[in-house]
Amino acid sequence: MTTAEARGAAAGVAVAARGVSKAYHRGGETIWALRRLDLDVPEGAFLAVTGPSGCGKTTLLSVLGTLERPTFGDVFIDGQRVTGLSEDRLAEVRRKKIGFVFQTFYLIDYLTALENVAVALRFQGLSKRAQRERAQELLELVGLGDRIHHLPRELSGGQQQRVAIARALAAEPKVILADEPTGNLDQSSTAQILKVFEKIHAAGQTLVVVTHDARVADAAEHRLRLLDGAVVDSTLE
Amino acid sequence: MLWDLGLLHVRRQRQRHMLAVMSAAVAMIMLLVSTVLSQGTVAWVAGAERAFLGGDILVLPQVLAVPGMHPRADAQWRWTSWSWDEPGPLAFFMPWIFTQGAVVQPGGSAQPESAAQPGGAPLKALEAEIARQANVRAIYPYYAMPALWTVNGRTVRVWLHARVPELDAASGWNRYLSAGRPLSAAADFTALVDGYRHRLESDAAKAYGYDRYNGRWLVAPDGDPTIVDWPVPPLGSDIRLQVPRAGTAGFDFTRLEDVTLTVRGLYQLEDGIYDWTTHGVTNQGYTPGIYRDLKCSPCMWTKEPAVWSTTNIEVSLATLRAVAAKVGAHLEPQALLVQVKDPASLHRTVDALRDALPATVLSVPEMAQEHALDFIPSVATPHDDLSLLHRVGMDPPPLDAPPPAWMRSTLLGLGLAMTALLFFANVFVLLYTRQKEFATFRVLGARRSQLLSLVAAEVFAVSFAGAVLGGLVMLPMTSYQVGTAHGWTAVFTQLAYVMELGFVVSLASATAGVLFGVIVVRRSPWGVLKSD
Ligand SMILES: Nc1ncnc2c1ncn2[C@@H]1O[C@H](COP(=O)(O)OP(=O)(O)OP(=O)(O)O)[C@@H](O)[C@H]1O
Ligand SMILES: [Mg+2]
Repeated sequence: MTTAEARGAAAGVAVAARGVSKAYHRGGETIWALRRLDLDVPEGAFLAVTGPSGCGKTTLLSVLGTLERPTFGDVFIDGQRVTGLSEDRLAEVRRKKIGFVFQTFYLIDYLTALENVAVALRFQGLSKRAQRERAQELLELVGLGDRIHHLPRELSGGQQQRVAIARALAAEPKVILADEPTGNLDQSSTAQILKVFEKIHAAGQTLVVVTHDARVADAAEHRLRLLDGAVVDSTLE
Repeated sequence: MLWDLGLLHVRRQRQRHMLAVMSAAVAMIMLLVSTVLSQGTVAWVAGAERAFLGGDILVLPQVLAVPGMHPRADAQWRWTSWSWDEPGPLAFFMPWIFTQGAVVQPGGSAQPESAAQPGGAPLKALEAEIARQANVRAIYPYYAMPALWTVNGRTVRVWLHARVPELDAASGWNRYLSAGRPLSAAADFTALVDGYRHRLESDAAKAYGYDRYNGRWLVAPDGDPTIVDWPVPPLGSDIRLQVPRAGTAGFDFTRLEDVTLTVRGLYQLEDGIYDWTTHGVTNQGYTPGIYRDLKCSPCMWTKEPAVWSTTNIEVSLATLRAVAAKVGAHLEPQALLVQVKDPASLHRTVDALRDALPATVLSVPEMAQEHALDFIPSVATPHDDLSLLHRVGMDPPPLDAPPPAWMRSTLLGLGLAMTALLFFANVFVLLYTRQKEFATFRVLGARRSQLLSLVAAEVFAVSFAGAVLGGLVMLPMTSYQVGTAHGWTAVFTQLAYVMELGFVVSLASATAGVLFGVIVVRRSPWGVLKSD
């Protein structure tokens, strides 16, 4: 048992936050986007984070995803305390443990769907061939087996988002962090994305999804409500 | 590493990279123009490279194995520097544009030897043009080339003139040069000092009190024997010359090739009576006490003050060719001597030539008038069927000084600054339009160094493509510079150099890309992604 685990990141917890606060400084004024937030996302959980605009949802995801450092407090990924790691070590954590899904997808525009997914596998020490095979499997998993050679601009928004999910899944991350993944999508695309989430959740994938969409929240196993940077309501114990 | 993605990006988005390639090409052109014009870099790098390689990189014998010589403007083309023995009973025609240290070969490019005999394709065309004139009987090529001759520690600039067999046979020149006897084919060497036939001081001269000059050249201009303080190379001995390589600014006297000529045909005068025509008067046995053993027909001396500025050595055409080959020069006739059929209609012929050719064509009388040299017509008169034409193209410009240093360094500075700016702009555009992509890679877990490899590969690919393109565009200019400085086989060496320059420049901009890239990839990826 490591010290980190001893300090609160129990086994079986994919992502944990301990007393996390995040301050933004803007023109002499300090905005507390997160206030002493504690959180444990158990492995295999499907958590929906909701709350009014500006309550700190995106900030929470970026802090949990090591993209931003908390002002106070600690973040644990897979039991490892990541606060205080160097930039390149954080990149390694992201590469191995975290998959991101964004509202605006952020696919590489000159790479095909297959290549976009394979790029995330480049760092795993797989052969080129294995990378492509795995990428193809993932695209089939998200229902895009027939679109693998399309460039992002040749795909619909929903399809692009599914490519992004496949990419996020590529490295078999401990957790997938999604920030309003259906924010730009219509109803049917949203339904497809939800189906994918449910499928991977059923397969044991940990998911943290920030959403405004009631259907996404309903589909989730757990819900957490943020208000002004603090948890006001949570179905996690 | 992600470098292959950089190349993939270039491949997938060609239109987008076209602009970058073009701007790199323009940058390369600027680099070449400024460095070549201000420093002559391509020529000296090609020279250094040849020295390093011990030869040229590639030679295609059927195309470029014959090194090119570009006879070009120099003192020889200036009317006042002409040795007056050449006028003889001949017309001659200069096919070159007379600019100091500039283009002289018609068409501006070397011709294979086969096409260049005599004179290469452009000269052939010129000959054809002249030959179309009704009154032209024959056209003779005339060859010359400069050299240095060190005698008694004193270096003299000489001109090697070719003895062209058909010219010898068909013209009064030969008679003049050889005192009426055809020179033997074995006579590979004669010497003229300042355009005048001179002789080894003979026993006969000794008898007249010139023995103290024994073993020296005796030159007799206008009745005054002049002693040239050089030893006479005995027959069968070697005379060592240094021949300059053909360079961009005339023959390059800073790079000399040693050439040895064997003295086999020193001009020997016979004792006896001679005809000596000067100033329209044919003298027989003029001042026999001194000149008894000089025999010239026709012959003239003059007190032209410039006569000591040049010295001529006459060799056979075959010898001159061998010398030219040795210095990597392509021997081309430098003048065409035109013989007319009917001297009465000389002026009409001259006018016709003036119309047909973009040049100043002078007949003998006109030349005489222009230069107040009354002996020229008198020389020509005995051979009425011949006239002298002289083309100077443009007036020879004054010996132009090289551009001042400040001008050259300004050109270089501006060129380098523009080059750097263009390459920098490329790097800048590439980095700043793709920050989101880089941030995405960072979110996916790419290390910064991996992103830098992508940037480096992409900048390098684009810069190299552009640099090679620019190098190709500038090929005529750089080839000309290298070809004229080192011979045309060196053009391949220079091609390699342009590639190398492109490589170095691309490497530099890739390095710049990495340096700026460090700043760009340092930005928090989340900050970048959130900022839109
Ligand atoms: N870079 C920043 N500088 C200053 N303040 C910031 C910055 N990023 C976020 N904030 C502030 O922090 C608070 C939380 O922002 P965040 O983006 O996390 O909200 P959110 O819950 O994701 O809102 P939304 O639902 O509209 O996306 C907001 O008040 C926002 O103005
Ligand atoms: Mg948000």
